[in-house]
Amino acid sequence: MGGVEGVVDGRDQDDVQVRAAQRGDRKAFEALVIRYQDRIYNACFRVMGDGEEARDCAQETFIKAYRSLKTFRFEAAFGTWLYAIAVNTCRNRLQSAAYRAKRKTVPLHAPADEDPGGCMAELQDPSLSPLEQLSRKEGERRLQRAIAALPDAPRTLIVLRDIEGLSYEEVAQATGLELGTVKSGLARARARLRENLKGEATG
Amino acid sequence: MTCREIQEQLSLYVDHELDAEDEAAVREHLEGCPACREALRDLELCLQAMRDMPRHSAPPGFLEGVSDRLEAGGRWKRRLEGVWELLRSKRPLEVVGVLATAVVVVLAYQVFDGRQKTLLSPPDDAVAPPRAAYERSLELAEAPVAEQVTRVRDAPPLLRLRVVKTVGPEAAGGSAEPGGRADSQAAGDGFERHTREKAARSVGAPEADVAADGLEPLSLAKVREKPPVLSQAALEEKLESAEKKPALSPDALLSAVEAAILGCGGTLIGVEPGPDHPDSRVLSFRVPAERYDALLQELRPLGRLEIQEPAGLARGAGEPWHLELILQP
Repeated sequence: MGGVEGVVDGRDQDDVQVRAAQRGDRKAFEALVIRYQDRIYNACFRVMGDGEEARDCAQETFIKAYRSLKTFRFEAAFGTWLYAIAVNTCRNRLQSAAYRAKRKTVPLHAPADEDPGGCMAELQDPSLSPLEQLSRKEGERRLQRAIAALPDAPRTLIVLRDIEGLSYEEVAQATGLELGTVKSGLARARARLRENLKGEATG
Repeated sequence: MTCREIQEQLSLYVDHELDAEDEAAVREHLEGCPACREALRDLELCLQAMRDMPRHSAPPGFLEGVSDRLEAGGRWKRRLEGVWELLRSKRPLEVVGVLATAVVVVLAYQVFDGRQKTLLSPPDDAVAPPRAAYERSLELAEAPVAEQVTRVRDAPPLLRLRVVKTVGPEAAGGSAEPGGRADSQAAGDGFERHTREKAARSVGAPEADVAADGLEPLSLAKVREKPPVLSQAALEEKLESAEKKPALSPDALLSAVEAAILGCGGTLIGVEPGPDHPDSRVLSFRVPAERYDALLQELRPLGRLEIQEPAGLARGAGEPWHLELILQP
């Protein structure tokens, strides 16, 4: 899994730069932002389902990280710590009154890059099962909708494990859940995602 | 095992997270069961599709946005601290000057209602992204000076910290137990509910339950004046510097507390609306026992900290503690 390797392999380099940033080296912190911005943004995008919300949450993640850098004590990988902050930031945003009011009026979970029309027509090939069709590139839109239809907590598990490629232990660290809860929660989230996809295909 | 039981194991099977015995049992079942093979194929296709999803890169200007927001926060903080310093200096002329300026600004604010941002913001603040949470936390900075002064003088927010449960080896039967077995009985989106219920069980447990865990009844006590790590002088200096800081907005306070918890190796379990006040929040979280004192040090500068903990609390045990923090801005 790319995400796991990405988080673990760069750990020594991260640690050097985190220590520099803790001493007030702003350039070192910017280097960390550059290294992780795409991963954190992508995770926020898949959790929030909206580019503008994802940008806000991802930027806030780095600002919180900067403000609490001096308290980071290298017990987890810096990348995992960032995911933990991002998960909390997204969760707070999803639970905020402002976001809920917005979600009532704007279908936030429609993918930002959705091409209206055509996507359902692609599901008409009877020789392929609905899930086989997902291997096609255009299946992304249906997949994003099915992910977006999950409740917040299972969606976060799917994003961290199956999209970002974190290990079970890293997912547990990032979400604050027990390892056993991550395992059972992820199994149920995946089962529900498959149901959502079948619903997308047949509905 | 039944097909249903096998299919519940498939998620761990594809991730090679089953122990050898269970993995062999699943593999054997799959060889003779087309329906479960079909379920496995569906799952693998689904996971492959997620791996194949294009990744979205951070939008252009992302780093600059982070830097600008950090700069904006630092700049306003310095300005507010300057005003505060002046008010504390007890130099009558300057204080009169500040108050006169405040009156002028309030009048200007009333005349140009709705344009106070233009009056008070420096031009280079225009690049800060709108609607951002961090910017909301700066609402104090954008308020008229008179209001800033009043709010800076307000009592700092109240932080009521309660040690709900210390999870030692003898008490590990409840929330510390890996949730695999019990969790697998919950269905569908019960996961979210389960997580919340679990938090409620472990965090919101009545005191009788806490006593049942071998802890003495809780007693509300003001924060001790001398934490073990800080010297008296260092503590006084820290408290004094905390007093100089302006009161944080509810959002900024929540962010700062979250950062303190995460920074001390803690994990948040949930945030719920709190009692008495619309901006009040109840955070439930775990923190390693040995980091408890470090957490107190991080929280103290943020407001008036009241601590409720069992008598004779033994620090340094290696297990995480469940804590509850009520924020009342």
